[in-house]
Amino acid sequence: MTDIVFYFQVHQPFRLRRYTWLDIGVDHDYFDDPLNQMIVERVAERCYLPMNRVLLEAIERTQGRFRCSFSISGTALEQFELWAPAVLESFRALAATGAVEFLCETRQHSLAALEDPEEFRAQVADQRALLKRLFGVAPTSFRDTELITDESVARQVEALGFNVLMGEGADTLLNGRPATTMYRPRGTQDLTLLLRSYSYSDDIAFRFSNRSWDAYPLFAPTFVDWLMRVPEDAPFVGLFMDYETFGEHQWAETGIFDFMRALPELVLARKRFRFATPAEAAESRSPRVELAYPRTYSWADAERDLSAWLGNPMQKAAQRALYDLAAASRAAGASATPEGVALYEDWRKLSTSDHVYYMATKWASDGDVHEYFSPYDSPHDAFILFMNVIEDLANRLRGFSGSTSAPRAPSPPHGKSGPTGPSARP
Amino acid sequence: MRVLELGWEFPPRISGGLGTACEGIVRGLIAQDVEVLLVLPRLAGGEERSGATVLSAAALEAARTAATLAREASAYGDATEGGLEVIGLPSALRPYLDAAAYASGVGDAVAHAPMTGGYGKNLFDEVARYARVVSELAAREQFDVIHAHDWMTYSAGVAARAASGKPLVCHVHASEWDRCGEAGDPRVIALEQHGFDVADRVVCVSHFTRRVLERHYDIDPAKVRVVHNAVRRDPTRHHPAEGAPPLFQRGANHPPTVLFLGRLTRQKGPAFFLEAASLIHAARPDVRFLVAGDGDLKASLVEASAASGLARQVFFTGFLEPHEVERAYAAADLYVMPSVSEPFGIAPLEALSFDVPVIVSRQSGVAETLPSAPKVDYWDVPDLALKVLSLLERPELRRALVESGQRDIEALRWETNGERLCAVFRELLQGPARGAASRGAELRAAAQARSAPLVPDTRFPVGSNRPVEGAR
Repeated sequence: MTDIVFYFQVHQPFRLRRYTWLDIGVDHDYFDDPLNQMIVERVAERCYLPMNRVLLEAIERTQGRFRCSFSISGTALEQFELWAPAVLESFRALAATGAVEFLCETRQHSLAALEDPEEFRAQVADQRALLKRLFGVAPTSFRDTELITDESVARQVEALGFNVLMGEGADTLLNGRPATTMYRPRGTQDLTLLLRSYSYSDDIAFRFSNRSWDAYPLFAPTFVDWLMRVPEDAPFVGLFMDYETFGEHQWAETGIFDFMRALPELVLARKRFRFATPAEAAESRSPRVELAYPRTYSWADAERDLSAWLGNPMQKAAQRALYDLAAASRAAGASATPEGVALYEDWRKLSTSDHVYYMATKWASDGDVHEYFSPYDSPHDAFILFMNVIEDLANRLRGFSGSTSAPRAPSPPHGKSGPTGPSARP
Repeated sequence: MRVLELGWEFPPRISGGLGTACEGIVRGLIAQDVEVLLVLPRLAGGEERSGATVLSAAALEAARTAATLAREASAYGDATEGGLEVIGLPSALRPYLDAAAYASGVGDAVAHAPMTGGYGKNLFDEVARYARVVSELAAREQFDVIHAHDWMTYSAGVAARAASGKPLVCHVHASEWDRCGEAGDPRVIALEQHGFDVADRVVCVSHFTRRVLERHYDIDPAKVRVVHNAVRRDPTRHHPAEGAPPLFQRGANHPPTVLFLGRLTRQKGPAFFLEAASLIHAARPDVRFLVAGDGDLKASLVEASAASGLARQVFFTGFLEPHEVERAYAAADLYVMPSVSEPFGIAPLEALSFDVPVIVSRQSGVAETLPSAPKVDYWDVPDLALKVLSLLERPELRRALVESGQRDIEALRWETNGERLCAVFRELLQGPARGAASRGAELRAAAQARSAPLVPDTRFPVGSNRPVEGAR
C-alpha cells in the first residue's frame, strides 16, 4: 500500500507600499493594504474558494477516503480574517471533515529557522496558537518556509515537539535514493522526514498548462498511470505544491479543477493506493533511513537552495539589517505596551520571506517568473524601500528603548548562500 | 535685438540641467531687452514665459496640416509680453516618409504621433522634425540671431541659418564626449560637429568645455567664446516649505548627511561617490549618504552599496521633483559633485544657495566659478574621502565655505550671463563673422537659388552615403 500524500501551501505576504526616504521618521504605515486586499480577494475568487469546494466535494464523495494537508501561513490567515472571511469559513469546513491535516510553520512565513532560533520558536508558537484558535487543531507535522531544511532546522523542529517534517526530494540530496522512502534527518531522534516527489508534483504545479510539454494536455487517468510506476513497496508519494497552483498559477481554463475533481476516485480505484495526511503516512511505517544534509535545501528553483532569498548582496544586507533588529523588536513586544507590540508586529511582518525574494536578481534570463511574484518595479526598488522601512523601524526602536543611536559595528556578511543562476520556481 | 532661441528642455519639463540653464539664459537675455522667440519640441504647460514668446514645435507641425497657422499666430501674439515668446512645434514627424515626399508635403495628411521632446527611441527622428519646422518658421519670422542649445537643436539652427541668412550661435551645455567619453554615439557626434562647422560662434559654458571641444572636436578656436552659467536667486527657495525629513536634520545632534545629486550616469561619477562613502564609513560609521537621482547606473550602484556594507548608510531617493530636490539640499551637511566630465554643473551653486558647502571635481566647469570651494580629481577617491571627513569634523569650516561660496556666486547672475551673450551676438551683427562667414554666404546663395527653403536632410546624417550638406 502506497500513501498518496497531498500537501498544499497557502501563503500571502503583507506587501510594502512605496515607502521613500521622505517617509522615514514621518510615516510608520509600511504596508500596502489596498494592494494586499485586492490580491487576496482575487486569489480567493480564482483559487481558494473554488478549490476548497473541489476538495470538500471529493472528501464527501469518497466518505473521507480522499485526504490531504495544508500549511497556511499566519500572514495569509490574518488577511483572510481581514478581507476574505469566506475563505476562512471554507477552510473550517474542510477541517470539520477530519480528512484534512493542518501543518505548522512560522507564523510569518519567515527565514527565522536559519537566522534566529529564539524568533523561530516564537513564530512557531504563535502559529500553533492561531491554528488552535481558528481551526481547533494542534499540529504535529511541520513544514519550514519554502521547505527550507537542513539538520539544524530539523533539530529545532524536533525540539519543538513535532513528529513529521516536510522536505524537498532534491536529486543532489538523495544521490539516487528514492524520495518515496521515509527518512530521519541526521541529528534527530525520531523525526520522520517526508520528501517531495518533485517530478510528480511539478507535473501538476508547473507543467500542467505548458503547451510545449510533450504530455500536454495532462488528464487524470494518465497521471494515475504514471503514479503506478512508483515501486510497490514505496511507502508514500509526496505531492507538495503551492495551493495557488489551482486557479491562480494555472487558470481554471487550463482544466486544472477538472483534473483535481477526477483524480481522487481514479487513484482509489487502484487498490495499491490510499490517500493519507503526513501524520497518517508517518504512523503507518516503522523503519526510518538516516539522511545527512550536506547543505541547506529548499524547494525553489533548479538549485533547490537559498539563492532565491539570500543569493545576492542586497538580499544578504537586507536580511542582516532585519535580524540586527530582532532582539530589540522582541524586547519591545515583551513590554506589552501598545507601541512595543506594534513595533514587534511590524518587524514580524517584515520577516516574511517574500520581501527578500522580491530583491532576487537571479532571474535575469527568466524575468517573467520573478515579475509575476513581485509587486515592485525592480529588485533594486524592492531593496530600497525595504531598507527605508528598516531605517524607520530602527528609529522607532531607538526611541522606544530610550537608548541613543550609537554607531553600529559593521555586520559580517551573510554566510548562507548558494550558487545563483537562471532557474524557475516550482 | 530679436533672438530665435532653439531649446529642447525647458522648465517645468526638464530631465537635467539643460532646461534650468535655458530658462536662466532666456531670463538674462530678456533683462538685456532682447526679444526672445523660443521654440521647444512641445509645451508641457506651465512654462514660465516671463515675456518670451514660446512656441511648441508639435503644435506648429500640426498647424502645417491645417489652415490654423494664422489663428495660432494671432493667439500666440496675444501671449507676447515683455520680449519672450514661446512657440511649441508640432512634432509628430512621419518616420516612414522619404525625404522627397516629406519636402513636398505629401505626408502632411499622414497620421503621426506628436513630438515628445524627450530622449526616447524616436529622438533622431524628432530632431529632424524639429529642424524641419524651425526651418519653415525661420523663413517667415523676423529675428537677428539664431541661438541653439545642444546637439538636439543644432540641425534646426543650421537649417534656420540657411533659410534666413542670419548668424547661428551654438551653445554647448554638454558634449557627447562629456556624456560618454570614448563611447559616444557617432550620430550625435556628427550632428555636433556639423553644428560647430556651420556656426558663426560657439559658446561654451566653461573653459573646461572649451578645452574638451578643442581636444575632441575639429573646431576653429577663433569662434569659441566662454560664458559661464549662473544661478537663479529666489529667496523663497532657500527655505523649502517642508524642510528635511526628521531623520535627516542638520545639526550636532544628528548623524551628518553627505549628498550626491544628479543623474546616475557615468558622467556624474556616482560610483566614485560610493567608493568614497566606503572609506568615510570606515572612519565615521554614523555618516549617511543620500544618493538623489535616477539613471542607468542605479541597479549597479544599489548592489554596490549593499555589497560594501553600506546598506544602512546609503539612501537612494530615485528621481526627485523640484520641491523634493530642495528637501534634499535641506537635509545635506555637505554636497559632493564628483563628476567625470561636467561642462558646467549648476547643482553646486544651488546647494550653496541652500547653505550647503560643496566639494566639486576639477573636471567641471563650475569649479572655475567657485575659487573658494574644495576641489578633487574625480578619480582620487581617498582625497575626496579625506576632504569630506575633515569638513564633517569642522562645522565652522563648513559655515565659512558656505559664506565664501555664496560670495563667489554673487558674480554669477543670469543678467550678467545675458550681457555677455549679447556681446557675442553683437560681434556677429556688427560685421562678418570670422571663419564661417564665407560658408554662410555660400549657403545663403544656395538657399536663394532654390524655390523651396533649404532643409538639410539631417535625419540620417551618419551611415548614409550621401554627404550631408555643409559637412566637411
